[in-house]
Amino acid sequence: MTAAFGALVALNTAIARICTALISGLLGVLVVTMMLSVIMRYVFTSPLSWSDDLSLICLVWMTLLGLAAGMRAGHLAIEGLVQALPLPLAKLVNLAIHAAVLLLAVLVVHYGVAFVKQGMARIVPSMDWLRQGYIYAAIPVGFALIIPFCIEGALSQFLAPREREAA
Amino acid sequence: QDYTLRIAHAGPATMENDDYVGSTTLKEIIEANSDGRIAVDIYPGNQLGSYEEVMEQVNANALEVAHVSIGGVTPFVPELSVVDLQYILPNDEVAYAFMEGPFTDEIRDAVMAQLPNTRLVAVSDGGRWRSFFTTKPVQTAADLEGMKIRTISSPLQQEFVASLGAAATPVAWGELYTALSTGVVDGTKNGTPDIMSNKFNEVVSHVILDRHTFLFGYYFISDEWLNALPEDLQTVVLDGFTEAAARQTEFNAETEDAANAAFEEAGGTIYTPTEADRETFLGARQAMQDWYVEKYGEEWLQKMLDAVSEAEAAVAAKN
Amino acid sequence: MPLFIVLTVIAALLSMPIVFALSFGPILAFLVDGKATMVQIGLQRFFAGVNQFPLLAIPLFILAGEIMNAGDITRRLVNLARLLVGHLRGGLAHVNILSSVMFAGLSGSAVADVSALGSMMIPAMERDGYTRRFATAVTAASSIIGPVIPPSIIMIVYAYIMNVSVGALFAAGFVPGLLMGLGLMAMTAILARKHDFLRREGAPSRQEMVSGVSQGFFPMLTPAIILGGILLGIVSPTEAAVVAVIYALVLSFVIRSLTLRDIPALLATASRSSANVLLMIGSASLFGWMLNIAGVPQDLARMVLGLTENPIVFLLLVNVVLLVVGMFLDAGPAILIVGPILGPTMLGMDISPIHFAVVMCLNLTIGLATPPFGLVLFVSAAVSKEPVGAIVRAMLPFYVVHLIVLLAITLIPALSLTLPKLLGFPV
Ligand code: NA
Ligand code: NA
Repeated sequence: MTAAFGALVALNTAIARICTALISGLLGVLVVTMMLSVIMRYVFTSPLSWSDDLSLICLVWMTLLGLAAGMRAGHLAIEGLVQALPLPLAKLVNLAIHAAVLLLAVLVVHYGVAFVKQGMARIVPSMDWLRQGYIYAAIPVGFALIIPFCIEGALSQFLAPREREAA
Repeated sequence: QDYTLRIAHAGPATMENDDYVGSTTLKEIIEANSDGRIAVDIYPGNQLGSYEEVMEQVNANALEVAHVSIGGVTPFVPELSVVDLQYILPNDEVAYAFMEGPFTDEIRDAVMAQLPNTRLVAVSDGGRWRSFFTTKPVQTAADLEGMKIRTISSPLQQEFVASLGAAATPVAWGELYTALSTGVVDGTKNGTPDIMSNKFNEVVSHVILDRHTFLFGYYFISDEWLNALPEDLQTVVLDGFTEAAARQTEFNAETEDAANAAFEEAGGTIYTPTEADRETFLGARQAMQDWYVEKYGEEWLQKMLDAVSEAEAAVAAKN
Repeated sequence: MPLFIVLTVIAALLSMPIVFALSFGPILAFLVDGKATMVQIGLQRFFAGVNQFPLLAIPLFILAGEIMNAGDITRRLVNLARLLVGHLRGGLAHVNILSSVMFAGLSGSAVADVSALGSMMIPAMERDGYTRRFATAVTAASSIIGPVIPPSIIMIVYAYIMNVSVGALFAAGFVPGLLMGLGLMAMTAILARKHDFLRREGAPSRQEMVSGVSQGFFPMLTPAIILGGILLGIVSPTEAAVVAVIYALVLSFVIRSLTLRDIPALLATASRSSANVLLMIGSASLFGWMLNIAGVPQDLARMVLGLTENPIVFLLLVNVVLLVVGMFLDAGPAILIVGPILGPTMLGMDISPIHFAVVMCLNLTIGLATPPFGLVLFVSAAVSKEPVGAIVRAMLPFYVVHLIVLLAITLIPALSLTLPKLLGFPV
C-alpha cells in the first residue's frame, strides 16, 4: 500500500514539475509573441495577423496546465468550516470532497471529448491550418492531469502521518 | 407553453438595434401564432457566446437559434467568405434578390455538411453597407494610401485594406473610440448605423459611401429541435423567421437613411463618390478575387458571381 | 433556489476549491436533469471565459510585477516613500501607505501588494516599535489601493465582461485610489496622535534625498509609461502590459539586479499565479452562464426595480450586496458572476457604466480585506504569522476609512468620471 502510494506521489511530483516547466515556457512564448506584435505594429507599422491568436493559445494552455501545476500548493478554498469539525468527521468530509473533484475531472474529460470533436469542425481564422479542437483539447487534458492528484488526496486521508512522510 | 425557443444575437437589447428588432419580431409572431405553445426567449449582446460559439451550441442542440453574420459561418466553411468580397454586389435591389436566390440554399447545405444539426432558415439585411469612415476626407482610393484603418482580425478584411494601400490595424471594438480620437487609427469600415449608435461621429467626421460590402444576417436553427415540433408548429416557426428577417431588412433600410442624416446634422461630411471616383476603388475588387482564388479556389467565387448575375437579371426583369 | 447553486455553495463551504465548486454545481445539475449535451456547452463557456484577448494583460502585468520585485525596484520605491513621509509622526505607517499608492501604479493586484510590500514593511515597522499586528493591519488596509489605481486586473476583467473601455475605467480609478490613500494616511495621523507613535526617522539630508530620488526616478516612471500610454490612447492595455514587461526587464538589467538566469523562476511564479486567476475566471464564466440561462439576472433586475427606481438607493443597495459577496468571493469571479446580473438594472436606471464599475471594483476590493474569506487577510496572516482575527481587530479604524471613501465614490460620480471625461473617453 505504502509503496503504491509512494509511486503515486512520485508520479504527481513529476506531473507538477513538467506542467510548471510547460506553463513557464508558454508564458515565455506569450510574452515574446506579444513583444513582437507590438514592435511590428509600432516600429514597422505592419501588424502580424497571427500574434493575437497564438498568444491566446498560449494563454489557454497555460491556464489549464496550471490546474495540475497548482494542485500541490492547493487551489483557493474556504476551509474554516471543515477545520472546525472534529477530526474524524473532517477526514470524512475531505475524502468526500476529493472524490467529488475526481468525479468532476472524470466528467470533464468524458464530455470534453465531444467538445473537442465539435472544435475540429472549425478553423482558427488567422492560422487556417489549425483546427480549433486542438485548442479546446486544453480543457480535457488539463482536467485529466489532476485525476492522480485527487486520488492521492483521497488516499492520504487514510494514511497515518508517518506513512505519508515515508512516501 | 410546451416549447421554448431561445435566440442569441450580438446586438444590444434596444429597439434601435436591427438584431434586436429581428428577434423581437420573431418573438411576437411565433408566440402569437402558436397560441402561446412556443415561448421565445431573447439573449442579446453575445451573452451566450461569440458567433462561432453560439453556432456550436445550436449544433449540439443546446441552443435553438443563433442569429449571426458571415463571421459565424466562415470559421466552419472558410470558402463562404466569398459573400464578403468587395464591390461585387452593386446596390440594394441586387443584394435583396441575391438574398432571396438559390445561393442561400448553397450556404445552408455547405454549413450542414460541417455542422449537421445547424440549419439556415432565413437571411436578412444584417446592417447595411460597409463604407470607410475617416478622420480626414477621402474621395479616391489614393486618399486612403498610408492611412491606418481599423479592421477585425480577419485575413480577408486586412488584405482588402492593404490592397488599397492603407495599413490594416486590428483594434478591439471597445477601444475603437479612443483609438480614433488619438490617431492610433485614422478610420474604420462600418455601416452608418453602427457609427451613430456608438457615438463614433464624435471622432470621425468624414465618410465616403463606397459601399464595399453588404452585411447579411443569418438565422440558424437546431434541426433536431425543429423536427421534434408538431408539423403545424414547424410552419409557424419557419413563417416567423421569414417575417422577422423581412422586418429586420426593412428596419435597416429606414435606419441607414436616418443615420446618414444624423451624421450630417452632427457635423459630419458624407461623400457619395462620382462614377470616376468609385472607379479608383475597383482595382481592389480584382485584387481581392485573385487573393480569394489563390486561397480557396475558383468554385465558390464562380458560384457567387453567377448568383449575382442571376440576381441582376431578376432585378432587370422586374423593373 | 436552483439545484446548481445549492450544489456549488455546499461544495464550496465543505472546502472544495472554488475553481472546482463553480463548475461542479452546474455540471452535476445538468446530468441530474438529463441534459448531457449542456455539459459540453458548459465546457465551451469555461474555455470562452479564458480565451479573451483583453485577459492577455493579466499574465503580462503579473510578470512585470514579479520582475520589478525581484529586480530591487520595489525596494527603491519604498525608499522613496520613506524620504517623502518617513519623518512624519507615525512615519513608517505613512510610508507603508504611500508605498502602496506608488506600487499600485505598477501592480494590478492587492495580493501582490501584500506579499511584495508586507515582507518588507512589517519587519521594518516592528523594528521601529509598532506592534506586528498594527503593522500588518496597515499593510492589509492599504493593499486594496493596488487594484483601484491602474493598472488593475479586476478592471480588465470588468471591462471585458461589461464591454466598456479599459482605458476609461483605468482613468476613473485614479482619483478614488488616491483618495483612499489620503484617507488612510489621515486615519494614521489621528491614531499616531492618540497613541503617541514615535517619530523615528529624521528629516532626510539633502544627499539622501538626491540619491533616493535618483534611484527611484526610473522605477517611478513605470506607472507614467503604463498609464500615459493607455490614457492617451497610444497603446491598448494589453500592449501597455507588454511595454511594462520590457521596461521592467531593461531597468532590472541596467541596475544589474537581475540576470538572465533569474528569468525561468520568474516565469514559473508568474505563470502559476496567472493560471490561478484565469482558472477562476473560466469557472466563474461557466457559472455565470448557468445563472443567465436560468434567468437569475432578469428576475433580480425585476425585483430590484420593483423595490426602487432611485439610482442612489440602488447604488447603496448594490454596495451592501457587493460587500457581502466580496467577503466570500474573490473579486475577479465576483465581477464575472455579479456584473452581468446587476448590469440590466444599472442600465435601466441610467447610471454611468464607468461610475458603476468603479463602485463595484472598489467594493469588491474592500471585500478582499474583510472577514470571513478575504484573500488579502489570508495572505497578510501568512506573511506576518499573526492570526486573522487579531489583524481584523487592528484594522477596525481603517475599515471606517474604507467605508467613508466608498460612500463618497458612490454618492459623487464626478470623483470617478471627471478624469476620463477630461481625457476624452465617452462616459
Ligand atoms: Na494598480
Ligand atoms: Na501598504
